[in-house]
Amino acid sequence: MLMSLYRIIYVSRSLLRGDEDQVASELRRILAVSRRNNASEGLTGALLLGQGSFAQVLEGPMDAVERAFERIQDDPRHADLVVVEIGPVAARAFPDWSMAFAGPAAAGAAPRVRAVLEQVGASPRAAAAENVVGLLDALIRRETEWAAAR
Amino acid sequence: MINRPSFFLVGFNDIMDVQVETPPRSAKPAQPRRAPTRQHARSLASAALDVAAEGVIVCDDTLRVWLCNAAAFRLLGLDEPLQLRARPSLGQVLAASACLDETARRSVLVHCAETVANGERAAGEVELPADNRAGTGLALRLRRIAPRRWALMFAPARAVTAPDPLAHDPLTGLANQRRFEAALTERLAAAGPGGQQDWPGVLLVDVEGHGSLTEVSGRPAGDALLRLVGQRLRAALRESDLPARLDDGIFAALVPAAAGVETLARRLVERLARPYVVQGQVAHVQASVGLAVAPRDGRETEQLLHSADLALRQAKAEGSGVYRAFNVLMREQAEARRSLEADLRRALVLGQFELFYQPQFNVATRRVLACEALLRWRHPIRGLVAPGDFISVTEEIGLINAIGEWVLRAACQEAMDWPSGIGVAVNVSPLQLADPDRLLRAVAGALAASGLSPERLEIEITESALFGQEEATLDCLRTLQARGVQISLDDFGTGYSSLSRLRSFRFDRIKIDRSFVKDMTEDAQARGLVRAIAALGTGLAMATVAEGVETDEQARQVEDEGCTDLQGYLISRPLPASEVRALLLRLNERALLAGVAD
Repeated sequence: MLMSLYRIIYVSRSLLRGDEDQVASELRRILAVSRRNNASEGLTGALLLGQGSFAQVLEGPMDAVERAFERIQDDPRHADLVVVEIGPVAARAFPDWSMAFAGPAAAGAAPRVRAVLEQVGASPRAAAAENVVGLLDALIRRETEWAAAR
Repeated sequence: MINRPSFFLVGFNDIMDVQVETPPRSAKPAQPRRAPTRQHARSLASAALDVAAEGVIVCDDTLRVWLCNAAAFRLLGLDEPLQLRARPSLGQVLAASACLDETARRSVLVHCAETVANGERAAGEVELPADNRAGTGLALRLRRIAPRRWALMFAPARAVTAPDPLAHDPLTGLANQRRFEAALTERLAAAGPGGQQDWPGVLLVDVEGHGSLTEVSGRPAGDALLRLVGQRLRAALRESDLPARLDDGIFAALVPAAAGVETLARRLVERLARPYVVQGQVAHVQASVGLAVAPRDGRETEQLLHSADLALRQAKAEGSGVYRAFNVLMREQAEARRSLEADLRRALVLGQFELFYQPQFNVATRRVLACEALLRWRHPIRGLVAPGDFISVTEEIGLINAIGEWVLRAACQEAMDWPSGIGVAVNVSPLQLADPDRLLRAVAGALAASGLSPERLEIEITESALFGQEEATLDCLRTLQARGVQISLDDFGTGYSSLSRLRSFRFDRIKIDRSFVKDMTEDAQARGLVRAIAALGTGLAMATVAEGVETDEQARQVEDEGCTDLQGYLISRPLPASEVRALLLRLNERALLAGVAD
């Protein structure tokens, strides 16, 4: 049976404390754990930390998405989680685990990050979801380029 | 729950190439005749490990397995011999287990990888569910025992004996009410006089909102949501705490009555209210938490649970999503309420109710048209109690119908003593209207018993009585009206005032709420509303009664605005039945004289 593909998008308030380097390394650790945890469950996605908020896209089989969401809910490193979108999707937007960190590498992206996060509560859900996906997509490239340039 | 057994520490030297951190404390051979050699200690350690009940797997930072004791083989169902010399990975060892399914295997690996990656501070426990093939579930703990060396220890979760099906909630796998209460009783006994244990505390958690998911998406979705709630509750507690599900949406936790318990309650409210994802959709619940701790809030199981329940009720009364700790005031209020209920149940039999009457004055005839019957409760200790202090309680405990029937009988009977033109108005509770057949019988019975003509009886209903059950209620009112009884709408303008309602039923009278009358001399808007309601009455051929008229100026204004009748202290305060007849005669005589004088 072909497993149908689900996607959940949420934003939440980061409770990570510390200077930028500490936050960045914590974020890398989160991502490393995510990769390890989720690979065998068929979960992929992208994680953004910017403007004090997390935005995450998780894609995979429905039950795996639900289990991952419960784990995420219990994570003390964030609060005030809002689900932007949940539902079936035709294809993965992020077939590999990716991370976007709107830190110094993406300083120019700050206004856009802020705008997208503000719209989460205001605009229709579908539009907000596409905005988050688009933002993550744009920033991940930037991060990859940044990593490659170093 | 799994203590670090000292036998781990014996003889590590030969298993692992590191120094032992602490010297052995036990597992000594009985009275050795000679000092133990290193070789001897090694074989003792090995023997001790192999008779231990807990499974032990020793591995390094990269999760390569160095050692696996006999219990580990047994508990994991490792049938194949392991080539430990080759230092297999923990993943390979677990993969050989006949007892762990893929999910269980993964959660063990994830837990170990995270713990190793995060160092000591992340050390915790992971519990595998009972539905793995081991049958009872396993509790695991990873501990750093030496630099870069870790011991994964595991034991059957909770009791070694098979779980008692009578003690578990089958939906969530948590303890059920029976087991919870038994555990509470045990902990109270262990903490009691001379006891060594900490006093326990009880958190009662009421979860609301899963019902609407069940309605929309079906029972399996609602059940799945409750399972997730149960998981979050368990996750928020420590291993030694006892989570339980007592009833549909009622969960509980048995915890030590320590300083952190209020923080825990607050955290539960917050954690349980976070969004859930169930069957591909987002769901929300609201959690209210009531907290009671021994010995302050009770030393016995029942009393402590009752205290927690009172705290929970208080939390819910303040809006869901809050927690409340029990305080003595709650018990006092509950006791006051219980005693009020008990007194009310006796009041009817003891004849403690009586009716007061307040005249309603007709503007056109300058005469008293009718009197409104007002219920009073004369209690030997409480004194004369106004309806606002007890009617809602009689409604909640189901006494309102019986009391309402008494009011109808008494009012009709007493009105028979009055001059024949004067009617009597009786208030009817929404709950009485909710049982139309009973109300119709009560009205018919009161009229028959007294001999009062139906035209002299007026039934006053409030707008809220029409809310939600309009058709059946209107049918009942139409039947009464067809028998000649007058129907009036009380407190008009304060509730869900709806003009379509005035159109759907032809009330005989509309009573304008006292708040408008009170303000109209000062407030042009209040006066405008009185004018508008009076005009509505004129247009719909319904009489309008201005309530709460206290001054001559108010009387003049409501008359000017077109109200047909007045009621209030200006005419008379409510009077006991024994005084009302004299007043009625006097008022109408005076009106007559006034009329002659005109």
